[in-house]
Amino acid sequence: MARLTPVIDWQVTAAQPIVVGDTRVTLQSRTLVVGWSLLGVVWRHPTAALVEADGRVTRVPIHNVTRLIELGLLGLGLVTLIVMASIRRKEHVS
Amino acid sequence: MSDALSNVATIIGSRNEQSSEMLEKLLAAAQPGAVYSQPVVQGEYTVITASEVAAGGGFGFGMGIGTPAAARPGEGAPAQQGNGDGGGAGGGGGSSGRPVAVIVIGPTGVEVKPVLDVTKIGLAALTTWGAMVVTLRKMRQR
Repeated sequence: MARLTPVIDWQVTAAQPIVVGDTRVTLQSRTLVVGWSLLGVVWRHPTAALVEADGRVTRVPIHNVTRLIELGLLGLGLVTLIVMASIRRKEHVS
Repeated sequence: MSDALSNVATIIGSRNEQSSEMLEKLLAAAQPGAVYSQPVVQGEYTVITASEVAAGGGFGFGMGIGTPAAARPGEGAPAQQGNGDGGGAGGGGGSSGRPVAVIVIGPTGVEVKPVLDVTKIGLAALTTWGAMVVTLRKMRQR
């Protein structure tokens, strides 16, 4: 039957480790599931690679550089507009 | 009337279950295997593509019950024919995926190389620039 209450699930999962020579790599991903009644959305993205080599575990993060640049552009645009608006307001007051 | 209602309830129940099953199948499109590709080995290097995956969908349905035949007082035959019942269901969904990075496992260690979507960045830059120009023009006009 359909869900009547909204479901929001945010979880980190790890894939099967990949062994190459002496290096063991475990790939992690994060999943957001939003479901309500007969609607549902799933968003899954990679987060990091856990590298085990020479008895040490290193976490190598995986960044979505395209999204970071998009957000940076959005932030830059907003900051520029706020600064311009405050300069104009000061000019009007004086 | 009670038969019609129970029929409607049964149909709604079955539609509900079918829709839930379809939704579960749609959401399975974003399973863990979809994020990381199978490793590709070339010489001393192993390459894995990391992608972000999104899927979504929704379903809906509706049912209507007709009115029974109405007879005029004193007449045997019904003046108005009874209306039937009907219903419909529909749904939609989609999924998308985009490579985010390439993981290279080689003799020197593990490297994560980002994948840049130049089209997306260009569109975002143009949209931001356009919105700024329009807003600044409106601010000057005041």
